[in-house]
Amino acid sequence: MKSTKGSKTGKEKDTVKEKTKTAEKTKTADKKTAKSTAKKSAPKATTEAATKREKNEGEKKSSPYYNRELSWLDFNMRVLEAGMRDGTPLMERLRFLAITGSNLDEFFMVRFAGVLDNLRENFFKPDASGLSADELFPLLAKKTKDFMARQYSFYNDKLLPMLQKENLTIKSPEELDGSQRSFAADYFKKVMFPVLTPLAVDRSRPFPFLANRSLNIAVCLAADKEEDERFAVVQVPSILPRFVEMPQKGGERIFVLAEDIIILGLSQLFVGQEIISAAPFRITRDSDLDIDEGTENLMVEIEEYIRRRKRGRPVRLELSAKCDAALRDFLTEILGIDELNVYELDGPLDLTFLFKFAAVKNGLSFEPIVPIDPPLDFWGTEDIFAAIRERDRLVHHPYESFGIVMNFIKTAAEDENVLAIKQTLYRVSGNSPIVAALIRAAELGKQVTVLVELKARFDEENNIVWAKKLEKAGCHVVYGLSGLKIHCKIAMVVRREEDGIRRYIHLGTGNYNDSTARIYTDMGLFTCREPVGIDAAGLFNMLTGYSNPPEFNRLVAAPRDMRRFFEETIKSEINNARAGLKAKIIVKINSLVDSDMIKLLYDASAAGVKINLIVRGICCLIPSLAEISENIKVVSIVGQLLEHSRIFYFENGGNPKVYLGSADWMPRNLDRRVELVFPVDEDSLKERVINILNILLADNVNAQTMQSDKSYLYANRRGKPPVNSHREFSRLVREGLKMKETLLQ
Amino acid sequence: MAQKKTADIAAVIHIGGNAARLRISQVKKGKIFDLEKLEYPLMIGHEVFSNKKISFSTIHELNKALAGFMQLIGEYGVEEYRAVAASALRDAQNRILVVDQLKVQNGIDVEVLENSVEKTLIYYKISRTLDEAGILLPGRTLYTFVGSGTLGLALAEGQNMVYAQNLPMGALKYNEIITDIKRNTEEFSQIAEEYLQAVLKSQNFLNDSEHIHNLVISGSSLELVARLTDTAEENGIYRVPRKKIVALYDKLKDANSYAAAAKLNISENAASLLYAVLTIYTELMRRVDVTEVILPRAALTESIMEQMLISGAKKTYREYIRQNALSCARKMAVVYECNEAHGEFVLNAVVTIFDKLKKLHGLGANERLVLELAAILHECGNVVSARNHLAAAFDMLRRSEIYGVTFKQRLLAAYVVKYDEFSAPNVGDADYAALTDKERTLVSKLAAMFRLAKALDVSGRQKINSLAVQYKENSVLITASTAEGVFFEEWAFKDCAAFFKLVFGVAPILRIKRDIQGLSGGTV
Repeated sequence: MKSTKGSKTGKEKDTVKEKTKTAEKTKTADKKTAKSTAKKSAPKATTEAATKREKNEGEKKSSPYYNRELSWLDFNMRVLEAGMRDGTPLMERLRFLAITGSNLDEFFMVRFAGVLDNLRENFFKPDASGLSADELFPLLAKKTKDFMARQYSFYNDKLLPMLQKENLTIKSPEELDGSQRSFAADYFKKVMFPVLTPLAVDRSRPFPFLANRSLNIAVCLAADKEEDERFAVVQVPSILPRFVEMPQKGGERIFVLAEDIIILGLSQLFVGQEIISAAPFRITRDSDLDIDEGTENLMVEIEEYIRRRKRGRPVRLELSAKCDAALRDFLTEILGIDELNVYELDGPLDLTFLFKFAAVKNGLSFEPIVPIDPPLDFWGTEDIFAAIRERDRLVHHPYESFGIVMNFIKTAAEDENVLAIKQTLYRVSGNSPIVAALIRAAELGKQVTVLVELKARFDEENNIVWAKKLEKAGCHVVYGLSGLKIHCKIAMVVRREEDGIRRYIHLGTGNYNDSTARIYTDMGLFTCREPVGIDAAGLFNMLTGYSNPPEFNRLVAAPRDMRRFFEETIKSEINNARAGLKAKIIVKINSLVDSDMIKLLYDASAAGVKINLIVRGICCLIPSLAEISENIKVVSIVGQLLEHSRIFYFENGGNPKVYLGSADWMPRNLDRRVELVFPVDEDSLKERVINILNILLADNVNAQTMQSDKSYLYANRRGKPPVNSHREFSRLVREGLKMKETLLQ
Repeated sequence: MAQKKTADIAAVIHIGGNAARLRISQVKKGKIFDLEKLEYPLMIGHEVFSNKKISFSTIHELNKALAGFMQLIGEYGVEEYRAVAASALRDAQNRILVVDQLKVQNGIDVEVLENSVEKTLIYYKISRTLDEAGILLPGRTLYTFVGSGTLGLALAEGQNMVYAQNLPMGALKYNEIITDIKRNTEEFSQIAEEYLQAVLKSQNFLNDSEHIHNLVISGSSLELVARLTDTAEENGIYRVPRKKIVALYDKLKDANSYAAAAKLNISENAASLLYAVLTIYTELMRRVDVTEVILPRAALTESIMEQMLISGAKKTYREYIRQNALSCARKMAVVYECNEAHGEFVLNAVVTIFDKLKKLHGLGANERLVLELAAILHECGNVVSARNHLAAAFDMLRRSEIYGVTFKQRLLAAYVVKYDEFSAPNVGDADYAALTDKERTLVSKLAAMFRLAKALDVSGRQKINSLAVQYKENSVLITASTAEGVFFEEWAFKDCAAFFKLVFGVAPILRIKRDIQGLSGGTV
C-alpha cells in the first residue's frame, strides 16, 4: 500500500530529516539512558547476572530445558505450518493464519509483556533453561519478527495467489479501477463517514487513548502556521466489516479492506487539509496485571481489573511496511515504544479478519467432523440416569456430541426427583445452553450451586454477566477462591431415588462450552459410583467454603495432592523399570513446563521407562538427549481440531492405570489452580482410552515429532498409509454406531 | 411436587472443640451410608479453655459455618436433624448467649450435651463397633475417650459397665496447659506427666493395674496415631502394639512442636496436640498391663445418626443404658455397703408396682430407671451418717456419676431416696419446694411408689416371696405372699399408703397371702 505524500520543499524535507535525526538521536539517547539507569539502579544484579552468565554459558548451551516463550513460538509456527501444508484446503489455510495472529496477540499481551515487566523491574533470575529476561528478550524479539515475516510471506506469496485462482481478490486502493473507486467512495460516504471520528494530536489535544488491538490509521497532515507537521488518528470502527466486497466483475470477486477505504476517503475527514501520508497501525497492550484477591468483593475487583487492563502499557506496535519515517517516529515517540517492539508488516494488520473471510466461499474447507448424537456409550438408552446407573459412560468430543452433557444438565433441571445441581464454570459460550439449564433448574426449585471462575483470563466480563444472571435466578454463585483459579470441570446432580439419594457426576477435560466443544478434542466421564460421589461432594463443599479439603477416595485434586500423586506414580514406574517390570508412561497434555515434572521424566527415562508425550503446545522438555531423555518421544498434533484433552497412562507393571483430567503439567496447574484428575476404572472404557492414545501416537499426518535440537518434523511416511487421528476417531465412532444399529436390527 | 418413596435421611451437626462438623447420612437396607461429612475448623476449644468464653468473631464464624451446613441440609431435602455440642460449649461461660445467637441467626436449636450423655453415646458406638468386628473383650476393660475438654473413663467387667467418670482434662485443655509449661521450662515432659498423674490420682481403680485386661481408647488424634504407627484399619478398629505407641511418644517427648512436626511431617498444631494425646495414652498404659491398645473409630455423630435412622435403635440404646446404669449402680452399692438383697427386693417391688400402674402414673422408661437406681442406692447415705442418712443419700446420689444417667435422672433418684416411711415430699422441705410444679408432681409420683416398695421390706429381711399388683376400678390391690409374720411391713405400708392416696387419689391395699410351701404365684 502506498502512502499518500504531498510534495515537500527542500527546506521542509530538511526539516523532516532533521526532526527524524533528532528523534532518532533522542531515541538512542533514551535507550542508553534507560540501560544506564537500569544498570545504575541495579548494578550489582547486572554484574552478578553477567558473571553467572559467563560461568554458566557452557551449562546453558547444554541445558536440558527449553525456554517456555520460545517453545510457545515454535507451537505457533506449527500452527502456521499446518496451514502451509499441501493438502490443507484454502479456507483452512486462512483460518490457520488467522489463528496464529490471534495467538500472537495473546502472547504479546501476556507472555511478552511479562518479559518486558521483568526487564523493567531488573528481575534477571534465569529460568530453568538458563535464560534471564535480558537474554531472552532479544531472542524473543527476533523470533517474533521472523515469525511475523513468515506469516506475511505466506499471506502474500501463497494465499493471495491461491485466492486469486478461486476468483477471490483482495485489492489495494492503487489496484482499484474507476468504478471500484467510486463504489469505495460511495461506501465511505454512506456507511463509514458517519461513524468515523478523526482525532487530531497537538498541544491542546493529547494523543487519544487507543483500545488494545484496535486498528487505527495515523495521518500526517501538512504544516500550518503554528506547527511544522500535524498528526491525527482515525480509528477503524470494529463495528463495521473489515472487508468490503466490490460489485462483481466477470465472475471475479473483489474485496477491499476497510482501512484502505478510509485512507482513500481521508480528504473528506480532513477538509481543507493537505494529507502528507497515512498508514494503518495497531497497538497491543499489556494485559498481565495483578488482581487483589484479598479484597472482600472479588467481582468489584475483577471489574476494576478489566478497566485497568484496557489501559495497560503498550508492548507492541504494528505498522504497515509502507508507513513513512515521520509517522513511524511520531507513533514510537508518542507511545513510548522501544524500537525492538515495532513490527513493520508487509500486508494487512490484524490477520484475524481471515476467520470471517474464510466463509466467503464454500467448499474449500476441511470436510466437517460431524459428531454422532447420542454418543456411542449412550446409544440405545432413553434415560440418562438409568444409563449411568448401569455403568460408567465415556464420551469423546467432538466426535461425539457435547449435547449429551447439556442433556445431562437439562434433564436434571426438569427432573422432579433432582434435589440439587452443582457445577464449575470456567469458560462458557455466549448464550450458553448450560447456563440456561441451570437457571431453569433454579426456577423449578432445585438447589443450584455454581462456581464461576471470574478470573478466567479474557473471559472475565463474560463470566461476570453469567454470574449475575445465575444469581438473579436464585442460584447460589461462588466466585472462586482467593489465590486459586478453579479450573476443574465437574458437574454433580443429587437425585432422590427409591433406594435413597444418589449422586451423578460428570467429569471432563474440557470446559462447559458448547461452541469450543465443536472444535476442541476433549473427553468426559459420567458416573454415579459412591466413592466418586463422596469425593465430588467433598470438593464442592471445600470450594463453597463449607469445609476443610477432604481426603479423596478416587479423585486427585490440585493444589494439595496432584503434584505428589504424579510424582509418586512416575517414581513407581521408575521402580518397576529398575525391577525389570514393564514400565511405560504416556501423557497427553497441552503444555509441559514444570521443571520438577520434567526432571522426574528425565529420571524415568534414565531408569529405562518408555515415555511418550503428546504435547500440543509448549514443551520445555527436550527429548532424545543422550543419557538424559533417550527414552522420551514428544509429538505435537495440530490439525483440523484443537487437541485439548488430558490423558495419563501408567503401565503399572502390566496392570495399566488410566486417568483423565483438567490439568496440564505447568506450575500454575499443579500449584495454583483447583484441578482434578480422575481414574477410568471400567475395563472397557480404559481400553477405549488406551486405543485413543495409540491412534494419537500413530498419527502421521497432523503430528510433528520434537527433535533433540528442539525443532519439529513431520513424519516421513515412507509409503505407509496416512493416519489422520482426527478423521480416524470420527470414522471409528461412525463405524461403532453402524455396528450398534446393525446389531439392533 | 410428587415424590417417590424414599429411604430415610438425616443430618447431625456437632459443634466440637476444634471444628464444626456436619454429617448427612441415609439408610439403605438397614445400613447407614454417609452422603456428606464436613469439617469447618474453628478454635472454640482453645478460646474456652484459655479464656472461658467464646469470642464474637468465633460466633460469627460458627454462624457462617452453620449457615453453610443448613444450605446443604436443604439441598438434600433433610427434614430430620439434630445439632449438638459437648465440652467446648458446655464449659463456655457465655454458653447460653451463644446458643441463643445460633438459634436467632440460623434457626438451629443446639443441644449442649451433658458429659455423661456425650460419653455414653460414644461408648455405645465403640461397643457396637467392637461387636460388629466380632471382638469380645473378656475380663475388665478400661474404655477411654479423649475429648477436647474432658477425659472419659469407663470400666467394664465383661460386657457390663461398672464404673464411669469424666475428668476435666481433655486433649485440647491439656495441650493448653502443656504449652504454658513449655514456655517456662525445657523439662516440660516430666512436669506434664506429673500434672496428668495428679489428675488421675483420684481414680483408685487405675492403681489396680493387674485387674485391667484391655485398654480401649477413642477420640482426639486417633487416626493420626494409627497413621504414624503404621497401623492398618480393620472394620473401623486399629490395634496398635503398645511398644509402637511408646516409640512414638519417645519421639515427641522433650522435642518442641516445630521439631516434632518436622520429624513426623505434620503441622505444628497437630504435633502439639498429638504430644498431649500420647501423654495421656502413655499414662494410662502405665497403669494397665496390656500389649496392645485398641483404637476404635467412634464419632459422636455416628452414634446419634444410628438412633435417628435405624429402626429400633433408640429402644436398644435405652436398654443398653439401663443395663449398664444398673450394673454401675450395683457396683457403687457395694462400695457404699448397701444391703444387696434389700436393694434387689425393693427394685423388684417398685418395678412391679410401676409396670402395673402405668395407667395411673403415665410415666415412661426414664422414670422407671430412676426408681431402679433409687432402689439399688437408697441406703448409700448410711456410710456417711446413720442419723442423717436420707439427706446424705440425697446429696450423694445427685452428685454421683452413674454410667449413662443424666443429671436430671440422678436428681430425681436423689429426691426419691430422700423420703422414707416417716417422711414424704412436702413443701416444708426446702429442696422440694425449690422444684417447679411439674417436677414436684413427678417426684411425688415416684416417691409414692418407692415408699410403698421400700415399706414392703422395711425389716430388711425379704419376708415377702412374691408380689402381685392389680389396678382396677379405682383401687390398687397389692397381694404379697409370705410365710412369715409381716406386721412390721403392714404397718410401714399403711403409713406410706396415705401419701400414695394423696398423689394418685387411690388408696393402695395390701393383702397378705400366706405362702404355704411355695404354692402362691408371682415373684418378688
